[in-house]
Amino acid sequence: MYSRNVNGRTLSFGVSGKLWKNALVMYDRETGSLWSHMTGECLDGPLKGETLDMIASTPIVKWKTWRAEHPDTKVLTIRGREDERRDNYWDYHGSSRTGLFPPEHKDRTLRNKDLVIGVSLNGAQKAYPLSKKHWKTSTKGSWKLIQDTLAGIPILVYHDPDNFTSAVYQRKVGEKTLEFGPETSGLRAADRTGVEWNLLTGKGTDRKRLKPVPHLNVYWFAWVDFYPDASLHGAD
Amino acid sequence: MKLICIFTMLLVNATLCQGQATVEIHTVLPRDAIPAIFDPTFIPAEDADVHEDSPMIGVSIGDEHRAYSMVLLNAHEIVNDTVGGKAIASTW
Repeated sequence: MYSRNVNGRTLSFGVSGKLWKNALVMYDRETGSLWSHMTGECLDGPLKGETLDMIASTPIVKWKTWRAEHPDTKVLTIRGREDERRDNYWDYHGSSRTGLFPPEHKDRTLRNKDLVIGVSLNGAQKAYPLSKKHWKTSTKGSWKLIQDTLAGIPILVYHDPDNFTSAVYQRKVGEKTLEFGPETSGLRAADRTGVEWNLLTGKGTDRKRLKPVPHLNVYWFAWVDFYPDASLHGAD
Repeated sequence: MKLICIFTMLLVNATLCQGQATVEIHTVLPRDAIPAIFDPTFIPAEDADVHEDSPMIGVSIGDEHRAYSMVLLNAHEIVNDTVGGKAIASTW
């Protein structure tokens, strides 16, 4: 998810029909420039060299979970429908197929279709593997939380294997760096000072709010092709 | 983010790869063959007909919250939206 503002100008994006590293390339209607939807980089055209700002979002969450925490949410509707049971990509997700074209970079540490949370922060990238085996090791018994530091910034990575919600936040609030215990209660986790934080909204019981960090929920083979040098949590 | 495997279905035997010197970009479909949403419409949660376990993409900016069905987004790839006064492109 990206900001559409570039150098004070608001762009609108369509689907170019092109692929870069097997992933969608967008074009903007204003200049015809081509943009990677994976990295936000302008690949070609008058705006080449620019990069779109990533916007933090919740890349996958069950409707009941999102709605319960955001009762006043608005829902996208297209031709009278807000949901569709049939997914064009269903067959793809269940198969071992990767993309149309062979990836340039490969890494066998994980399986191609293992999902990772891919975090990009201040020019540094890191992947957090979500497969049960790796996630369990990474969380050191917490099951749902990883406390880490990326690009010198303390972060919290949350993933619930049961409802598949994930979130990434900065752990610094004002001058304080928060430390979390291993326990979570549903979507809520308490820091060492006893303040409880909602891991979907980032809101704390002290009325402060954690700063969300943009992240992707992505297949390992795709992440590696874009960021071959990024670190993998649990492997360093 | 996801791969454009729908292209494999549409491609059949048409190979339209064109390599470029700097970045290798492959053309697999005409522009706008997958129609992005430029003027999205939204309804309140209580009026939405969504299965409780359906996967959604959520975004909150300021006090405004949006949910996009992941499966609907698959068919359009990009929603040009404005949330909390900020112009955003919702993709995955």
